[in-house]
Amino acid sequence: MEQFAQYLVNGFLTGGSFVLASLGLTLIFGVLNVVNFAHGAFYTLGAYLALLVMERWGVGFFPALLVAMAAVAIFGMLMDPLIFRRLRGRGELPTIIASMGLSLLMGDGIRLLWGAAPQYLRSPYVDDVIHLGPLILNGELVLVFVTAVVLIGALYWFIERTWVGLQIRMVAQDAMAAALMGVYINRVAVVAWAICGTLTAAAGVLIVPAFALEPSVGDAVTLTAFAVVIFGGIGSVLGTIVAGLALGISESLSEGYLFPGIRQIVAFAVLIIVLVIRSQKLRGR
Amino acid sequence: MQLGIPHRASRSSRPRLRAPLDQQAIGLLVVACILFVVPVLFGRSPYFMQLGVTTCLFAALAESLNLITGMTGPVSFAHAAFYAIGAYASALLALRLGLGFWGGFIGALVLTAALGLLLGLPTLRLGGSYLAIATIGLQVIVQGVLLQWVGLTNGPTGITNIMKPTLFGWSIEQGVPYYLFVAAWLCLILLLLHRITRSRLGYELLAIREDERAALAIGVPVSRLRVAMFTLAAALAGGTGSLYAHYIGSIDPYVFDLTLSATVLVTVLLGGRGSIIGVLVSAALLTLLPEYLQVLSNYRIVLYGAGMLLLTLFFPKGLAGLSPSRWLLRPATPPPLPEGGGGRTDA
Amino acid sequence: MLEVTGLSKHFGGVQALQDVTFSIAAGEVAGLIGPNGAGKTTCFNVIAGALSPSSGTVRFRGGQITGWSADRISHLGLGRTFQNIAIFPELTVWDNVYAAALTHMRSGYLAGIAGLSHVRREQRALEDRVWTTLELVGLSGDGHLMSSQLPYGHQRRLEIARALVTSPQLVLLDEPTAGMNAQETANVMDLIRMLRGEHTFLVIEHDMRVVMGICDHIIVLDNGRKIADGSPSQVQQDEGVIKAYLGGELIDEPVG
Repeated sequence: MEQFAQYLVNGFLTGGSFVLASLGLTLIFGVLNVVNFAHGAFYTLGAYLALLVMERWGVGFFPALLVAMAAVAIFGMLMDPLIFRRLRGRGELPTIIASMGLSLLMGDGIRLLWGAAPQYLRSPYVDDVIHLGPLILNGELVLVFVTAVVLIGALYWFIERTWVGLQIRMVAQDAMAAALMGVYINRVAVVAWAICGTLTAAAGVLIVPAFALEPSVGDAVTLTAFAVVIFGGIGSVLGTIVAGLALGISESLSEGYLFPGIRQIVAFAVLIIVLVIRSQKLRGR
Repeated sequence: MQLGIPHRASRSSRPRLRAPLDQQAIGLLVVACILFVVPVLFGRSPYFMQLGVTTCLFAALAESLNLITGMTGPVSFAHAAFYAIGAYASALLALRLGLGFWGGFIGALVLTAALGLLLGLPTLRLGGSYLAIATIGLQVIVQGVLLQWVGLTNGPTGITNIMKPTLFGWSIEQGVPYYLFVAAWLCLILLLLHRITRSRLGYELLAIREDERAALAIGVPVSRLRVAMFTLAAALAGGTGSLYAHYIGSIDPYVFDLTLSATVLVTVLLGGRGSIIGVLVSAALLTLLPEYLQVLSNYRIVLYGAGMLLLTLFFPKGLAGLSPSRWLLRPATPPPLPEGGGGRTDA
Repeated sequence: MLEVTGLSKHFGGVQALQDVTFSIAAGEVAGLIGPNGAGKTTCFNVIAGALSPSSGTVRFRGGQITGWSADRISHLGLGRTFQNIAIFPELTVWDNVYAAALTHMRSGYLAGIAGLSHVRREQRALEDRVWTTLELVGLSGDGHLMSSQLPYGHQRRLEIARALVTSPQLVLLDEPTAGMNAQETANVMDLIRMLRGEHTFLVIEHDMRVVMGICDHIIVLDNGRKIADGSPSQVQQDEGVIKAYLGGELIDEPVG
């Protein structure tokens, strides 16, 4: 029973990190209808930028986090005018291919810039453990969880309570109607990308210290984020939260009770099952 | 220049018809000639023969993806998975069940077709984006299974000692014999694709790609064809995988990754979706260029990524779009052209 | 020929069709009219199999086709056009129509791939039929043009040709004369008049001259319900219809 609770808690915390990593994707997917395969690359980029800043200029962890968030936000903001804006009218296929291309470009670009050897991003909490009764909580994951809660709160406030947030919701609902009502889609797009970049970079900087930092860390993130977003409903922040936690827990349990390495398979199997079920509903027949 | 078919001569008001040359058929004949001339010129060099085999295998793989993504529409990232399944199935059937190459090859075809059918049925109903995601998922799962299911696949070590094929008692060894073998397989695939584009099926696939709703309205059984083509493409990829396994002699799961799927996809995009010859040229380019530009090999993936971006942004029609005549883009039968051009549109 | 009974269709909260019932006799030209948003295209989509109804039945040529897929219904003898024109843009005019003809071939897929001689014979016969159809709509000189390059009115004609080439028994035309000038409209009307009898037509139209000019039978929808069903003169005098059109559009000539 104790072990079950431990798995549960681990899964919950891991789920929190999934949520943080996936929020950006649900935003982009929901608002702009862009299937961003390069999502993981933003995550990785954030982590490497933080590392760069910490090593080069001796900056502390949290300032580095902020720098990374800002830098990737700016980088994300460039994505729309450079790439995705031009593809907006052309249907899904060009976007899929472009984002896959971007993913390869960024992913391998990071490898070329920083080398493939694993490096270590030091966070102040990475070695800490918190004892909650008989349960052991990984300090880093707790930090992630707390940050996720804070950021989700901020995101919620932004989307629900600000003018820009309203515009984002309008575009997510019906882009053409929003445009007719005077919303500048291009501006909304840039804001959405900025938010996505910020959140995803934060996820990268906070979660990576628990593992090693390599150029390929983003791949698993992309896949997991897709699983979470589709499972929870594209564009739905609440859905992402629920799905992220659920996925974290189920992965933790299956890895504990079955065998390691099954994580990705589980994520994907879930993803495909959900997709198929949804397709039955979406078809309208 | 008329066709000279008697029943057509009666309608005097109708433009006389002239059947244009089938440029695609001619192009493919030229390709076949090149393929079989190569060993005559380069047969001495094992290096060139190996290059030839790799090129032909890759071209076969690309053309099989062309069948789905090029001609029917949906983007599939799962092709390396079918390649892998074909390779493993063939190796396992040949070695563990003692069926030898031919047993393995046929088994691979059947197995990948069955899996293609099984996996295609649920996923093909999803829209473009979801389908792409699902195929990525498939690719990852398959590779994961190959890595993890050590009992079946030997895990990361892979399978070794895969025998060479034998034909009428002769063992087909590396070098010229295997090259001819693979070239023949490629030609078979090209012939099949060519015949498809010249037939009713080719038109229906084109209709699906152009406008699915309208295709349904004119009676095209869209879902059935999609699944059928996916299954066929999977089988072709599987067969190619089998040839790969028996050529290399040992296989491991690391080759068959998402990057391979993406590479095949780039090849199809570069060549021009749906253009048989375009994809051939592009497959040749993408196999041969990296060989000659070894210095850039470190940048290969970055270049592919940048290539995909640039292609989508600026050259969506790929190489085939560069051709002045539109025949490279439209795989379907060229229409009879009215003699002396059109212009008389009676309102 | 066509019997629609109790047809209803709702999308989430929106009730697009509510208990619509009508029937169309073989050989007649029926018009489906109503203000914008009345559910006419939805009705077409349900009949043609693009949508399945929430309730109700559709019988075509005496048999149940409710819930059948569009391609199955097409092979039963139904052709249709779309409100927003759904031609195949990257194909030539010829290929657009030829594709439809090939889809209804008797020879199977494999025979075609193998290139058997009876397939080639059938293909040549179909080529004949494509030319005939193109001549019928007046596009026979434009076979080689890319369909996306045609002017709007010609594209509509192309779509009609594509629907007709399979010799369907029932043809559903969704605003066939939209965007056409007077001459083109008159040609379409002549075409329909010429083909009636052998073919049955159900036409959605906003242009009242067309409706009054060619229809034997008119069905009026408003807000998803049928509010009138009868001969042109009956419908013209129906109070409900006049109200729905906000004051006599039926009697006066519409603007533009």
